[in-house]
Amino acid sequence: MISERVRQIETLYHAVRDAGPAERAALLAKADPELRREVESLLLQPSGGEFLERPAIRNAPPLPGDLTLTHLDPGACLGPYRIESKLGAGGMGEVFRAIDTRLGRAVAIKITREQFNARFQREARAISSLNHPHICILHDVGPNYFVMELVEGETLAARLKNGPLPQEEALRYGTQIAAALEAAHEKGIIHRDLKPGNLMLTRSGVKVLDFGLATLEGDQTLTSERMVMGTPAYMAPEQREGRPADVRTDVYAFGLVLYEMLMGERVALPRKRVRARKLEAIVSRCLEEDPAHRWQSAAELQRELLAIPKASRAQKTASQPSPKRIPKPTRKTRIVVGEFQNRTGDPVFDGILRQGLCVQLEQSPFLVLVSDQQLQQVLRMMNRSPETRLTPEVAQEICERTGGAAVLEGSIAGLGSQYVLWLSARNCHSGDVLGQEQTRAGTKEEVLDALTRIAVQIRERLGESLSTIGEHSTPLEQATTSSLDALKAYTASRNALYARGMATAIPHLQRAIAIDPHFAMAQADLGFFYWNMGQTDLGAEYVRKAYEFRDRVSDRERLFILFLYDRQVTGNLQKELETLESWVQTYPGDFLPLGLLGGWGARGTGQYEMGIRNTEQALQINPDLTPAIASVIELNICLGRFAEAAAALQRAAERKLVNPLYLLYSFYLAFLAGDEAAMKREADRARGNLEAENWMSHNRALVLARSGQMRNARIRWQHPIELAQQDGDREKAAIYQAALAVCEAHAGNREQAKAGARAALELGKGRDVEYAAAFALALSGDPAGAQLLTEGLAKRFPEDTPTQFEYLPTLRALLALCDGEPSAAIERLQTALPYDLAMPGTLFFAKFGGLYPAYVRGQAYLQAGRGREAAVEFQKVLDHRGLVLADPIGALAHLQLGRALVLLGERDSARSAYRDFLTLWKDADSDLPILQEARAEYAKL
Amino acid sequence: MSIEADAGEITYLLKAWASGDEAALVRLTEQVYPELRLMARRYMKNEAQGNSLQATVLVHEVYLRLVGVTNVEWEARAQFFAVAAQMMRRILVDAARQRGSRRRDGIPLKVELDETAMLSPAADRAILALDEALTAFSQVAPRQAKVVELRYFGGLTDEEIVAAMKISTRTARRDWQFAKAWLLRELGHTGPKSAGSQA
Repeated sequence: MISERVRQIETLYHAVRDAGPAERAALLAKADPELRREVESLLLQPSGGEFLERPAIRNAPPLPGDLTLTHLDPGACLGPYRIESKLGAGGMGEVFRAIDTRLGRAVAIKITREQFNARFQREARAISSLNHPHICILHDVGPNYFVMELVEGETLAARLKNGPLPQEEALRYGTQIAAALEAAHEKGIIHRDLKPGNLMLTRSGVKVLDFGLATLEGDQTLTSERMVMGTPAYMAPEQREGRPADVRTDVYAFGLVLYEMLMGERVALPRKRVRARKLEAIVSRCLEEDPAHRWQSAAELQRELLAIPKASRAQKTASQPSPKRIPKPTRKTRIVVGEFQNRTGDPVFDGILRQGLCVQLEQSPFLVLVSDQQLQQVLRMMNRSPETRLTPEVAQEICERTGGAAVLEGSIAGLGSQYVLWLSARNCHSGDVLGQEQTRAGTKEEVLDALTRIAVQIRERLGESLSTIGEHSTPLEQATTSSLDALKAYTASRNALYARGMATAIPHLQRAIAIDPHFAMAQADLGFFYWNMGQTDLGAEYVRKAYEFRDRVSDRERLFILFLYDRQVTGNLQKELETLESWVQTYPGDFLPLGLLGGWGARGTGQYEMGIRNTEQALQINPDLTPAIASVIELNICLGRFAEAAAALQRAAERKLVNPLYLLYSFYLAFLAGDEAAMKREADRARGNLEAENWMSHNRALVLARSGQMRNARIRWQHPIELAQQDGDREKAAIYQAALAVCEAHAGNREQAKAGARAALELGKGRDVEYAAAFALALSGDPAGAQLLTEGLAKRFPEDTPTQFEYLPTLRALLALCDGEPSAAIERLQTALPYDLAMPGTLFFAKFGGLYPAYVRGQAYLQAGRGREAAVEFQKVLDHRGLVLADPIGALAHLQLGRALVLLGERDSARSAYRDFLTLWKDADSDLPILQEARAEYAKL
Repeated sequence: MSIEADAGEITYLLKAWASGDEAALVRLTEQVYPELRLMARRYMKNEAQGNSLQATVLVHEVYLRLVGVTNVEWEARAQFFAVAAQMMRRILVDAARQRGSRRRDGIPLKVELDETAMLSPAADRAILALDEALTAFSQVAPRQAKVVELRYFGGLTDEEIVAAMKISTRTARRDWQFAKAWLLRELGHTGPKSAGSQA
């Protein structure tokens, strides 16, 4: 808040400025002398004042350049240190392995972007006196580098990517970190930036890195701006607010780290509880907002950790002997709360006990109660009145239909002047009693207390037994049909889906809707699966049907159908994301919306990080979700993180999970690594798997086209096109044909491209087919044909995100280029900018067409003679190999970059870009027009 | 160093922050700071070569690069600018401080020829003094100080300040007027006519 004194000054200042000259003197005269002096001094200041009127950046001298280390190649020397190799790079700088030539000792050198000030160097020298087995020794400090003990191992951050640590290990590391903190705190040194990235896991245990280095640079008097100094996500509240850090600041960060080791994820709000009660208590006290409420020292913390009895540690590991055990996520289990019978004869208890019980149980972290709204909907589906009593039989049926695990029933009866409450939980599939609790209340007033007690007891019991149930039975999905046979077929489709992929689920779904045509979820799934398999038009038909019946389904099912409708019928991806987000919020324990966000929502809008995050969350709930693992792999490829993608594939293989997509991803990872032997191996592995074999042929054809071997590509493409036709999958045949046409167009084979585009349109229609055909036509001198298709798309898909933001801008830009109007083309592509890195339908289904907006924009800049901008666009294409994959523009962008560089007069770089292209096309058909152009241009250079 | 920022993540963080998740702000900072710094350097280089740009362009361009045009509504965009302004302040102040300490320590400054004109200790001192005065001012008049930060460091327009701080246009103008008078008085002079001329 503004201080009172300043408020008075401000008020008078404005009053005087607003007043006329005559009143001014009067106003000032009335004020007390001190106030008057203040205001007068302010009024003296010039109102223009160039210094403040110009934004700071115009006043400031240029920022120092990043001092790192383009010149620090292996062999370079920094003082007595000889650089050997780069170990990594981070926010603050780069880390190298080096040799201290005086001692012949290997060290790590961290070089920061900024120079240190003298004070920093002084304090860092104090830190170098720290000598503790779990602290990485700081050997030396230079003007912009530290020299540290070389520690071999991986960081905790890297380790946590594979999920949480076993409790025993987390405890061991935790104790070591606490010991390291204690040793440093004793010398008055605070870490200030404790986080998983600063903890190395070595064979001899943890090593804490970067002690005290975080805030040494800069000045302690700075306040709010301090926030960007350390690592914000691991900062204590006092650090964020710019208050001084002390030992308890490290205690807070320690809590975050311990939590992350145990749970495998960063603390989010609201924070999940750690299972083990003692550890939860330790963590929650570390994370108190007020430092005074935390553990007051690392020593205290260490004592607490050591006090966790060895016995219980041993037990924990003994009870879960399997070494392959995947850390168990907190799985939410659905239960139905049935009737709470009132046998007291006192109407005061009617209804309230069930309500009270629900309130109690909803607090449980692993139970999901089937809501009353859901209950009523299910009752309607069972053709019963929503007011039906929840007798044991009814509750059990509801439980089965909602995929629940257990039913709770209770009763209350009078016993003399006392009351007896009784509560039981039954497995709703087997009918077995999972737990029973009984308690007494002395008076009417004590009944609610007794209820609370009994609810807590049953919660604990359920926590035990339900986690085992969950592993041994497949919960029924929610399904809306009054026919048990249709429901059975639907269940079979789900099992088939998870076991063998979408294609195998389809016959079961067809049977389900044959039995009950109003079975909305079966219709919806059919629509979804067909769409995913590339039959978008057919898929949309089923989704429309499901959408018709959307009022007859549960909330959750409705959300799914709305999602499909946005995706497949309107194509409005923004609305789709909103639907999925509200689904996640309504059903936080549901993996499906998380998986959909990751698998579909994220791709169309290019939000790959968000996709990975949500998919990982879905996998925590259901670790064997094969399509979600496929998403993780593909999203990582999109981001260019090929090692991560390979690791995810490896994990899937270790768990014996199979999905035809995995074969394709393995093929592409081999392609991206330039490993032709591995590509061939993966292609061979796909033989015999119909789905995969077909995709594989298409993708191998793309690889050929990318190297300019159009003749071979054409032959290769015949196979998948014919195979798809035989399967009656016209749209897929068409998209393969269209891909061929686009490749012909890129290569400059205009006649083949035009013929191919027309052939594709004859084979089948669909948004992506029409786009690809129009693209090929526009590139090959048939603007009229392209124009017609473009306008058709615009009319038919007015809300469709890829059409509006990628396809139409790209096509219209191409048409402008046909007319020789590059600036119009550039302008039309403006709308595509935010979607440059999104995944268009062609890429999603047929692995081509990524980055086309950028590529066409580059061509427009070329035509406009703007080499610099053109180079940026083509570089963008080259920088996103995971999105371009084997699309020919991945090779052609080198050539186009070369052309842009020629425009810029950078002939050396241009020559090298041309050479890159010609190398990639060394086996190309020699008569391709674009190749001949390239050769001629290169010769001139 | 090129930074692969994810528009989706930033949009998400902006939304989370707007709905009260403070942790989102710090993660936002992690993402935006390096980009902003990079852009600031580029901007100043341009400036030094006589290619004058609007200062607002800077935060807008960072925003476009990181978030994109259509993703976030106006208010969230204003919030983004506010974060960016705060970071800009830190970038400029840090740079000034570092140059100061390097001069003292006798580390030679490597500069390109066309930058020397602007490389004056006076400009560094001015920005450090202002930063200090502004920090003190924010203790007694936080809102008014914030307006200065957004406008002076972030280059935000009146309209953007109004949206980011949820205050009226009139308040924004009056706060600026008052804060400017206050700071100029605290700095004890009317400010250098231009950054370089006092060298």
